Amino acid sequence: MFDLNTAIENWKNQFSEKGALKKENIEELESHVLDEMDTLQHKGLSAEESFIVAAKRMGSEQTLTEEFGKVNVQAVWTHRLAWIFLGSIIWGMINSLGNLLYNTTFLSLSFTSLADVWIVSLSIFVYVAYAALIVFMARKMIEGSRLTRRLSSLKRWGIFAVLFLCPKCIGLLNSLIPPYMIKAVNNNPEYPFAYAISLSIHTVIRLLIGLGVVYFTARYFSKNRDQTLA
Amino acid sequence: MQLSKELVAASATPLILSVLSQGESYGYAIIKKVADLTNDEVQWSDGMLYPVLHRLEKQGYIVSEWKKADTGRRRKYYRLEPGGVTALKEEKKKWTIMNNALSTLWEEKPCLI
Repeated sequence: MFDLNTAIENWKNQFSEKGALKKENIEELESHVLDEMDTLQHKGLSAEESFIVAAKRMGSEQTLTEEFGKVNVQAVWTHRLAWIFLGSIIWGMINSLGNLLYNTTFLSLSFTSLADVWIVSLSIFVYVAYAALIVFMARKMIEGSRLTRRLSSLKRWGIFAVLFLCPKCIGLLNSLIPPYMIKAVNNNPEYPFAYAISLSIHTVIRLLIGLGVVYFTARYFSKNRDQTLA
Repeated sequence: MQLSKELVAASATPLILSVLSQGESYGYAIIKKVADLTNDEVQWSDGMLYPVLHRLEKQGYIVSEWKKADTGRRRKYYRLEPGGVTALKEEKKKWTIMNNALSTLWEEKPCLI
């Protein structure tokens, strides 16, 4: 049984995910669809048929999002920045959790006591759960996203591998910095704010990387950018 | 006849401003009006009209207002602002130049001397 209210709500929800359309814009589109439905029903179409035709005539979600995105630039970037901040926080949490788990697993502990054996045994389960969580989140993000759904399987797994390996790559880059330099900066009494400065620089770099990823991803997926009205 | 995307896009602003110069209107009615005027030759993708309307509003050519329609539903109505009247005059000049040029070329008789 066709439920118009549910159909309209589902149709509207697809636009609110990316932030290109404001609530007011969606309400205006809904008003248009209802007007078109009235006309079509007057010509003899059923409620369901008229909704399908009206929604189809309105245009695809991707095209509308792109076109509204050109007008609502501020709203789009606010939405993107929110995701970047969230991503930055999750990134930091994953790194912290990874470090914590690394320090409590067999990778760093020597078996000097029975307590160590217990810690290692327990932490291995946590480590596996952590790895499973990362895999689950990354796969959900890549395969469940409309943005990447049309990519080939190889490309999806490529992105997944990069996401999964990124923290490790950053760690490798960090390891290239000579230890004496890190000690010189962090422990030098002449630079008491070295850690705060270092953290600030890293935060800025992280945000810039996030911005860059979002910007170039958006550019890559934005096709027919100059398409207007047709 | 299929009009090119470029032509449809270029004519969007003068068409919208011209429709609104006849009185305030809303998106759905503007699309229907343009389709009627062009015998359905200009078929805008419905949703694409609104970003254009919002751009014109940002440029100060038109202004919008939510009102309650006869059906009881809320509708966003647009009307022309003084800036839009000026813009429409400019558009008329440009399109008249193009129209005159093309009309002259197409009406030229071949030289028999």
